[in-house]
Amino acid sequence: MSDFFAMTLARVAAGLRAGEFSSVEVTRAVLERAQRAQQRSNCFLEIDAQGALAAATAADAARARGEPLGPLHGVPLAHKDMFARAGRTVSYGSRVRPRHAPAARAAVLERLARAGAIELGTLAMAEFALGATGHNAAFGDCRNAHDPAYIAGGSSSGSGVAVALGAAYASIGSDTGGSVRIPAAANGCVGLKPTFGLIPRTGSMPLAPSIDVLGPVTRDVADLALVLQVIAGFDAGDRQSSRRTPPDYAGALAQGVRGLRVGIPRSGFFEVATDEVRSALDRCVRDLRAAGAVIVEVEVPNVAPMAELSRAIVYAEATGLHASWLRARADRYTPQVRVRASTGLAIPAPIYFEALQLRQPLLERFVTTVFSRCDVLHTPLLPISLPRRDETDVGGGARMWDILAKLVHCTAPFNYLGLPAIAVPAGRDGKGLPIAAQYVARPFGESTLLRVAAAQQQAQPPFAPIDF
Amino acid sequence: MNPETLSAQAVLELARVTGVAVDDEAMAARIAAGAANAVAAVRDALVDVQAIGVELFDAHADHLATLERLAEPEA
Repeated sequence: MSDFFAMTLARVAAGLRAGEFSSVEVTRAVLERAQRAQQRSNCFLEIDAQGALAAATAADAARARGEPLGPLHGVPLAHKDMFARAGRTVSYGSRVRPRHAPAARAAVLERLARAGAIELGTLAMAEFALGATGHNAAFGDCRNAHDPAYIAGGSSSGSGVAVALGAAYASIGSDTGGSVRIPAAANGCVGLKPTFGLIPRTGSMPLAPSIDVLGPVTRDVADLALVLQVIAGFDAGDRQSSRRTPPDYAGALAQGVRGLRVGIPRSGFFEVATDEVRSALDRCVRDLRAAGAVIVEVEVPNVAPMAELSRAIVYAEATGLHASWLRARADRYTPQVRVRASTGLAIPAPIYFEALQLRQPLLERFVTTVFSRCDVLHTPLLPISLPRRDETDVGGGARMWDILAKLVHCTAPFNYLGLPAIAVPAGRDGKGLPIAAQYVARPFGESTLLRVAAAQQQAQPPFAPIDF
Repeated sequence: MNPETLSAQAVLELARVTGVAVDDEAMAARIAAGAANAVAAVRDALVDVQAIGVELFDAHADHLATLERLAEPEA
């Protein structure tokens, strides 16, 4: 069978459990795909063919012995290079700590491994997750899966690209301002930024611990539910990990959206969107209405300042985390990232603390205003056409700053508030590049997001892996 | 200069005090400019919430607890 890469994760997992094919067969096929994806898009930092095939052989042997199989048994995945693996180096997309090898495995990787997943290698990311485009002067830019002239999105750039190219069935990234959702959207994938506290960050690289979350990228909504089920839930190693019991995410998919209230914001989002994006999102609304959802217009508190409030926290915490390296080895940072990592110098401590304290009243106001009127809020994910890499590279001038601000305009406010948000493909623009919708729910409303995403996907089937 | 923007000289002083290396005034000015909108947004938001009678001194700083309180009910 040569079309493994075109299968969904759920289909591959089911085939492996049934013995329809072996993990070695699947892993070989996906590794071949990964090698070509790397040439096309520079989406991997390392491809560990030997390790992946050894793990696949072990997975097949376990099945042959009749051992109990986890939900991801024998399925090859790859993740952003920001997670600890015992005795393995981790780069964080940077040359600052080239030989850093943690002692233990990150909680999410541990949970995926217990579920039977295999790792193909490590994926490209923005240096220390400080960038939304996929540029990386230390390891080379990660390029868009559909057209390498365009940005991959970031900071989990390799996650969006590898999944879109069929070089991994799912990937875990991190999202502090849009870093899962933007690369998912830019490459035609589904990407979830969960509620703050749902997925434990134990053993993952911090950028701004008051805001950081981890999240999955997949091609298909059901696949995302499957991965989320494995990685969500309390872990004592993360002081900001919720003790709530995760619900049955896959079960939620079958509930449909009949009667569900989908809110269209009167302001704050669509006025910055291009006609092409608005038109694509209008179609999503029509599809959801046809599926039984109730469409309502809602007043939304002004979200524009929240992206900046979030930055006050991110800059202050990032500079605090990086301060010792900025003292000792500043020359190992790439120049752009060094400035970003140092920006907290100019955030006075009272401003940082006030930005943290403001979250409670602003979150309460947002939730009571918006989610009294609707169950999910519908917004663009990227309000503009995907920019080219050269438009957003160093020296791009005033237009570059405008583009960069618009990339996170619809995503960063929900990082500040800690609310769950999902990016779902919503067609293509005139250049054939993906457009995405975003849905936002109450805290811990991931099941509701998955129901809406599944309904949209039913009307607009997921992107097939790119033929290259 | 925007009132919320630190001067490059002030950033260089903060860099000196913290021991973080900032090469020159140009780099310090970029750092200051990068933070200016965030500082302004916090100041504006303070005015906004105080206008609706919120006193930050009493605000609960545990973000996760607030999210759990406002969450969808557990199934």
